[in-house]
Amino acid sequence: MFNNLPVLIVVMLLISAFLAPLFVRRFRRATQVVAGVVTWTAAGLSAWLLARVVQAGPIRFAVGGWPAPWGIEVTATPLSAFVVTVATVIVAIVMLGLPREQRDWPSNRAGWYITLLLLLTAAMAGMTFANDLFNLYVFFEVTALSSWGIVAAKTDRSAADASFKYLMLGAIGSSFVLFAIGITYVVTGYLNMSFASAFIAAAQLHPIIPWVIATFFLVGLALKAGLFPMHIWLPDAHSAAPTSASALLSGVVVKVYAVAMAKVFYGLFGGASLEAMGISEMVRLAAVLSILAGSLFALVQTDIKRLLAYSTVAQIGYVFLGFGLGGTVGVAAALYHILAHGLMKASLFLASGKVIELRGSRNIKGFAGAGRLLPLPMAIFTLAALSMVGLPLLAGFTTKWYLFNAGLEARLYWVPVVVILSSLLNAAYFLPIVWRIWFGQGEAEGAADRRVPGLIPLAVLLVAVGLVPNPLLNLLQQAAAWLIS
Amino acid sequence: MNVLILIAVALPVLGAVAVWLPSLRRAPLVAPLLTAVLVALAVAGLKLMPGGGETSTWWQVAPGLSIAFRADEAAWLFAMLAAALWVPATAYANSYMAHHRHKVRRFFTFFTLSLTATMGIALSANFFTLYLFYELLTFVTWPLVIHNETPDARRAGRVYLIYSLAGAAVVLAAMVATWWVAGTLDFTPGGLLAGASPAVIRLTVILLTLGFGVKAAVMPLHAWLPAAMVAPTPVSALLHAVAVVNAGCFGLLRTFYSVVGSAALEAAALSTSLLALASITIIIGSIFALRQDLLKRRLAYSTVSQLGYITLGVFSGSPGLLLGSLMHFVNHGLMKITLFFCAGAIITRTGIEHISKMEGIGRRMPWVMGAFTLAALGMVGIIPINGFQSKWFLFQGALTAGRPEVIVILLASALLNAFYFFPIIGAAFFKGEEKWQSEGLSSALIWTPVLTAALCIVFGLIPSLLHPLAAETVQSLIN
Repeated sequence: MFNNLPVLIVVMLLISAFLAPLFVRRFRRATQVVAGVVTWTAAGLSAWLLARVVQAGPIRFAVGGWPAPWGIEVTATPLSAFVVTVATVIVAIVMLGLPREQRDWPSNRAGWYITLLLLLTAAMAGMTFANDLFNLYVFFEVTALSSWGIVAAKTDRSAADASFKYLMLGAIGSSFVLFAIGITYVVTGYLNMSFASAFIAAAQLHPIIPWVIATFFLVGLALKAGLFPMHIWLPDAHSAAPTSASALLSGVVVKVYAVAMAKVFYGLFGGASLEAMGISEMVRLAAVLSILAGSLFALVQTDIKRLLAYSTVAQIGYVFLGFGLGGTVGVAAALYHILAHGLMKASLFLASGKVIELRGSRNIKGFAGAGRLLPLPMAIFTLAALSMVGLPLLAGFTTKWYLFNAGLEARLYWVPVVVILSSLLNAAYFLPIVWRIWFGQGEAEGAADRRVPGLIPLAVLLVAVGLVPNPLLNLLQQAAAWLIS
Repeated sequence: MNVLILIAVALPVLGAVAVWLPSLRRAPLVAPLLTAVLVALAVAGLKLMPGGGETSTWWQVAPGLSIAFRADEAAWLFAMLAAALWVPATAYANSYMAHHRHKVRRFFTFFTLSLTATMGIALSANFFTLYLFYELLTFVTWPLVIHNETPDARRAGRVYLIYSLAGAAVVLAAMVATWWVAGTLDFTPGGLLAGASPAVIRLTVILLTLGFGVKAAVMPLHAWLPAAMVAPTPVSALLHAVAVVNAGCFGLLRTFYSVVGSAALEAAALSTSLLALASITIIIGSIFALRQDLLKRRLAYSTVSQLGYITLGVFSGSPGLLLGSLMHFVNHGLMKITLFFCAGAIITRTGIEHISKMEGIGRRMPWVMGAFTLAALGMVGIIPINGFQSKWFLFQGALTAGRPEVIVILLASALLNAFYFFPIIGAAFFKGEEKWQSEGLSSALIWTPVLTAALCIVFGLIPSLLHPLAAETVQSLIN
């Protein structure tokens, strides 16, 4: 009876997206509230879906009653339900700040911004639920288009530049993915992943064919996810965007591409043949480069938003590393990090947004003395930064611990070394900021408004998943086992 | 959950918060002292109460990672030393901060939080808990190092942070290796790595030495310690002579004997090179100390050198040397805290920081310099002060372990100690034009060093205070 729940979530978000601009001129506050309620509803429905799927097994739903492989097939697995829940919850929390953020915006822009946010959420959910490559591609493009839109929402020159760069490079990424889908269709005759996978497994294909398909998918999706060295658009786009957009792009959107990659790879080829083709190794290599290079770039930034964006490049590497290591532990680590990093990075962006607003500058010098100005937001910033560094009992440490375990299980002894090195690099660029916040000399006045909506729920969730990771990790290992099988 | 352990580990957090109570007058002074006294009583109670040695688990973070505490012999020795010295050190810090008014509340917040971290390290029952509190200790002591906020202090703070975080990262690597090989992180008598291949054991031992060696100031990882002397003197006294550096030594002791295990240590066959490292630290540290004119820096290098005695015993793996090093673990803490207390009293009363300007200081401040002299004589190893005992047991241990070369090192170090302490004492009492006067025992700046110096003599005269405890600890670590 609830088999259409995944479709309902996507459609609900899509419809409300296009209603926003109609009402925003007259009832701006109400529109913002309704958009929030819709997102929270989507989050609630996905959480319910997750609970159901974990209990009763995956749901397959043929849209319009057309069975696969001809019709559109949507699957809700523990994995996709989890990812959609994470995405919608973080979007919903970040949207709590919309009324404040859009205070000085013209109605037109405010309305379309809400449209784009909801569209983005719908597309991310659609991409995660889709079981056929065609739909995946459609939602993939919608995600990309709405991301470009929200980057450009600030309408200044740097935002337009960044958005254009994002558009151009994104288009290249899309063509890689489209090419990979094209080959898959030509070779197998199916767009449905389950059918294509069965065909690939049965037919005696020349080994180069799956390799080419996988490589093209990898390049396209890694470009969208901002994996080094295809990250060059990311710092511009994520730093030029409005605060809420930065939080979502860095915290959620890039991860959805990583999940898409995992779904396609495991869906089409399976873990063993990925390893045999050398694709897993390629993913791991790119992940390690990203982890180290992202942190090294972050080290030299003076602009806080660019610093956080480069940190995302490094952190997305963790997600790819987890998927690349494979095994239930590795995939669970990647999924856990999707949530943990989403919470951390959204908190960091929201808290720094407030500092930027007060100081009128994005330079990290502006953080000097911010601790006295904004005690609670800065305490949460510190918490999230320490979690990034990987202090035990915080969420970042749990990811690292599971990555260690996955690495050792795969007998890749360099994994702990890289991860520990990355923690040190994180400390090297986050701790100076923390120092500035609490001990720096800076103006401590002028904070009429100290509230940052959404920050407290993010922090509470962050602490909770750090202190009590066990139930969540059990669930994620179940999700991982389902993905791998 | 053991209530006394709960008090020891968690009460300082409350104490640190209480420092900020606006309604309580003199809260920054009363709360830390009260906390220290209660913690010391709780730790003392752990020995008296039955069941103190049982593991109490507080929190299971993930499979294999739990926060658990246990007060076994080694844990109790360190916890008791730190908690007992915390009380005079807090009294001393109160007086000191009354003269150096700068961010007093912040100072006492982190000062008190350091007690939590130290107790956590001492009482940890598994590697994860040890690592957690070892990392925490860095973060809560860092604001104390940079307390003065001068450019020098900031530089020292940066050096301290880099060394400590890198060290903790290496400890984490050792923890991962242990987890992988042993499948558990719980401290076990006899160790966890007994069956592992020598290469893995060697790797783990090297990682542990590098990681904990930072805080134990094993050369060449010692550079942060002299730099950290820009901190206020109570911090130098307590943290850089007792808590932090001893946390490093204790980390080495704990992981060498409860994680690696003495049998595996023997299999790794690294003890000769590690002993060489400790010997180099002892000698070079003393030579560097000779060249310092700043009293606190001379004491810092003396600490580097003396910690070598402790690590020497830990590295050797022989019960005799370990016994001597555990004695020195306690005795050095008592002597060095006295010396630092004296240095701080001199700075506060006269503003003199350089040894070359200390002519006649002994006649102006006879109590303080008397205490200083006693502790310095103990460092050299003269009867009947407690420093002699450590050396005596180290000599005996060296002979039974068949390492007579250690005796040569120790004698050379005693000589060097004499070279860098005697000129201070000589100048203080026999040079200059100062008249004899008394500085009065009313201030904690004066009576705390006198008290700890008296303890040095008590421990020196009555060996049965410490020896049975140390022997018990050795027994529990090596069987």
